[in-house]
Amino acid sequence: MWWLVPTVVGMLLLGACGRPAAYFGKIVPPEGAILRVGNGADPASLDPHRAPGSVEEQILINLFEGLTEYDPVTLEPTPAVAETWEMNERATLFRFSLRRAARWSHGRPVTAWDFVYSWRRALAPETASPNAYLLYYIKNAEAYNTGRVKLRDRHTGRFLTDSVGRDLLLTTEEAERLRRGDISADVPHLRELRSRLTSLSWEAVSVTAEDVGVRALDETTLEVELEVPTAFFLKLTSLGIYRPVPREVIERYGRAWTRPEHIVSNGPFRLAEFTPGRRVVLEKNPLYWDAARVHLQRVIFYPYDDATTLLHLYKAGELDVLVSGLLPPYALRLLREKRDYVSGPYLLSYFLLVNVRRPPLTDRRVRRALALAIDRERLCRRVLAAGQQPSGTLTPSDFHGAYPRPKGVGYDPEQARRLLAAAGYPEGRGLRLRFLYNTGALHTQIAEALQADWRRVFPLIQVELIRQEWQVYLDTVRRGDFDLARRSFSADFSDPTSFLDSMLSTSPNNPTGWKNPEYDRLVRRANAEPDVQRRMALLARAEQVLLEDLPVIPIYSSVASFLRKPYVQGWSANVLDRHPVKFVAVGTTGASPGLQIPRRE
Amino acid sequence: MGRYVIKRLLLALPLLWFILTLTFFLVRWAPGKPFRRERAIPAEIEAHLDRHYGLDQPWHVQYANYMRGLARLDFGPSYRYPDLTVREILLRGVRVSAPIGVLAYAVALGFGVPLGIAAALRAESLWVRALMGLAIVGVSTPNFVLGPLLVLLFSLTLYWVPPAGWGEGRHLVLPVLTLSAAYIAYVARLTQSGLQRVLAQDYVRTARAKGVGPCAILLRHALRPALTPLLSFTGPSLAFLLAGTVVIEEIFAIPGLGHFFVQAALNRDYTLILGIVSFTSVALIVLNVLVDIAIAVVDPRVVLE
Repeated sequence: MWWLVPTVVGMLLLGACGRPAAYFGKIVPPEGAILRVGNGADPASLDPHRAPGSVEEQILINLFEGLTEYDPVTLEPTPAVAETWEMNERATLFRFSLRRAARWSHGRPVTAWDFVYSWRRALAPETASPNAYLLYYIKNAEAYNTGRVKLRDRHTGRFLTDSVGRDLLLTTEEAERLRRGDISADVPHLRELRSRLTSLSWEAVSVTAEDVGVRALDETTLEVELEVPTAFFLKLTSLGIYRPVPREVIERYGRAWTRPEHIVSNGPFRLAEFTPGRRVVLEKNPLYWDAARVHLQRVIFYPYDDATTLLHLYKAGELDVLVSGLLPPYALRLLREKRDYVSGPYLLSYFLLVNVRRPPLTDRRVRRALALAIDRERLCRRVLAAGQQPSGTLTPSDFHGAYPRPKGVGYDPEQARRLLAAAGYPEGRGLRLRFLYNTGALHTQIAEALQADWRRVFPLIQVELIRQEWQVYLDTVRRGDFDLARRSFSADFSDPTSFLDSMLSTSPNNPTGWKNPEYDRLVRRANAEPDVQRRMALLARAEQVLLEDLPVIPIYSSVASFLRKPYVQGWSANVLDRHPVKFVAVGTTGASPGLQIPRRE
Repeated sequence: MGRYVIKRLLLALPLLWFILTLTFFLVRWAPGKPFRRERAIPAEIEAHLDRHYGLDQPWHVQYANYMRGLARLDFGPSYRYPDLTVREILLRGVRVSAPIGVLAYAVALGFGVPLGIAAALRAESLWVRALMGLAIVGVSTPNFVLGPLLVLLFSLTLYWVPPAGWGEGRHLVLPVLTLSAAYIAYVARLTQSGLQRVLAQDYVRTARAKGVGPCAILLRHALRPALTPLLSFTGPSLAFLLAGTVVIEEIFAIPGLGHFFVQAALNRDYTLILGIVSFTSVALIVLNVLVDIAIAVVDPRVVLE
């Protein structure tokens, strides 16, 4: 309970300073072209292949430059190390022409070989990269990373494929069982496979780093072969894990290569200091090919994770901008009125997992009734208040209109009552559910609001709220020990598949027990469909299947909301909350003469 | 005395072993694992990670490996910070926590000892009683209340010092003030009661009868024995301060041991948890021995054996 006290004191602080004022706190730009970012947590690693999440990504994308770079507003890929690119009609082969001027910070040119080395390293099992799965679109990447084997017909030389044309992957153990004919009834996919292996002359083929579909045709030409048509591949090439790392430095220093004294990078900035718990300091890289367009001399990322502390620092003028998601919920109402409050759509979906293995949640009517009884509008307006959008779908609302999002589930208490009565629980009589969530002010508020919603519609329902510490909660969800569990998911890249993939029957992110072959087929087909429109239509059909079954109950799609001092330019809200600081300037640099910097309030 | 020190330290080894063994199995027994995130990673990648850190081995093998490393003072890699070793994090953390702790305790002594002396000598003075009252308020206000209040006053209203952060002298002001507030009252009370006890003793009366002045009595005869309780209190207090104070370091965003300890526990960073636990235990044991020695030096009646 001790966290309550800082919250209360924080509210007092805000109250004490709550005179109507345009901006929140001090507005004095730092001396020189420096940007001070409140980044939310310590980066675990500055190695693009070992870094697990968005905290690291926010720093990495400024140190290392990929083939493409995010546009700071639309996030569309813009030329970076790659000057131009072309793809074949089926979107299975991409060819990138690299910039001759691109240099590492110790002077060596960036070549196509750097990318070959880097992607192979990211996929190598020894690297144990947590995000390696984002490279699985590349030919043989998954097989190499997971150590699985493919099946080849000795006569035709062809590999056995699945329904959408991906090479089938088996564990070595599965292949061995197949060879021995030791197939029990509990592995239907092996039985089915066996029936497809008409000739007996097939062999299990393992895959090495050299088989991964990335090749350097010469110093500046990189060719990438994909597993199946992947229309959205260029959305991936800006991701941190696709960015190059310097081979000679890694081979020389091993795990210590990311230390400031060793690290070599190719982006607009280089690492000057990394003190865990204190700060990460980047300074402008003079050898960067586009250095003339980089305004900032220094960028400092602060890892503080306490929302109240961050707010204090921002107010006192020690921070210039906060990344999204760090504002304390109790302060939102006040901050929303300030001119330094920025918000915009964000690809983060908040939803409930439903354990469809547990009666009565095995009954689709019960799931639908629960979903229909939630007044999302009221939750977003009254409880959350940061501008979150009520959502009836798993995919969040904003894909720039490219995705024909299905209508989704709404608020209809009448129908909810009817459905639940039909399922044998009139007014919720006899229905007991355990709702699992993790510690956190926001999650508690939401859990209580949902509990109240259900009670309002079904007076006799019993919903027990179970709050667990973060790691315990993750563990409980994985074990499937819940009736309902809260979950939020943000996109790796701006595409519906980043959400829909998680509900595939094989996904490690699907602990609901829900498996739907039709859904799997539609998502897989969509992700192998070169035509963008047809692909989106297939994904929408898949989501429709999902929403009919409701193994997840959508709640809302989130917003990016943060504070930004008025003298900071080029740091805008975008749907992934990625902010390449290459494009950011602070007012005193004279980058935009029209800017008026208000003096202290 | 040398034999006493060696004996004490040798006796501490089994204790240390017991603490570490208990911690080793407790952290593994707690639900959750390192590398877990909201977005789960494929099972094969998780297996790579486990293999990379030896977490795929049975517990007793992990335990044997860990203890072998520990014998060479190798605390292993951190799971939360794959590019750093636990030893590096410990060293960085101590370099931050120790100055704050020592400074805060020095401030507590600087205010508390004179206040305690004044209270022992002039218990009826209004000033002394007011200051003593203030010190009691200081010890009764939890630091997570006092800290934000100081921030409100000095950082967000007066804009004198930054509300949080680390690295410059100005960052020290608020955490040291907050932290020392809790100790001033303890120090003052211990000094006061110790001094009152000594002043009532026969040898002090004898000295007074001989015509020794009050200052000389205080400095030459009374103060040294009066400080024994304070010294015993100093050992564990300093050990806890050196090991980092979780709440202060969270409020003021200080990258000390306390901060890393919380992060390690939340992230199930087994090796880092164990590293910090061993550091804290060793600090506690060593400081207690040092305090025993100091007491023997201050009070010749105490003989160490």
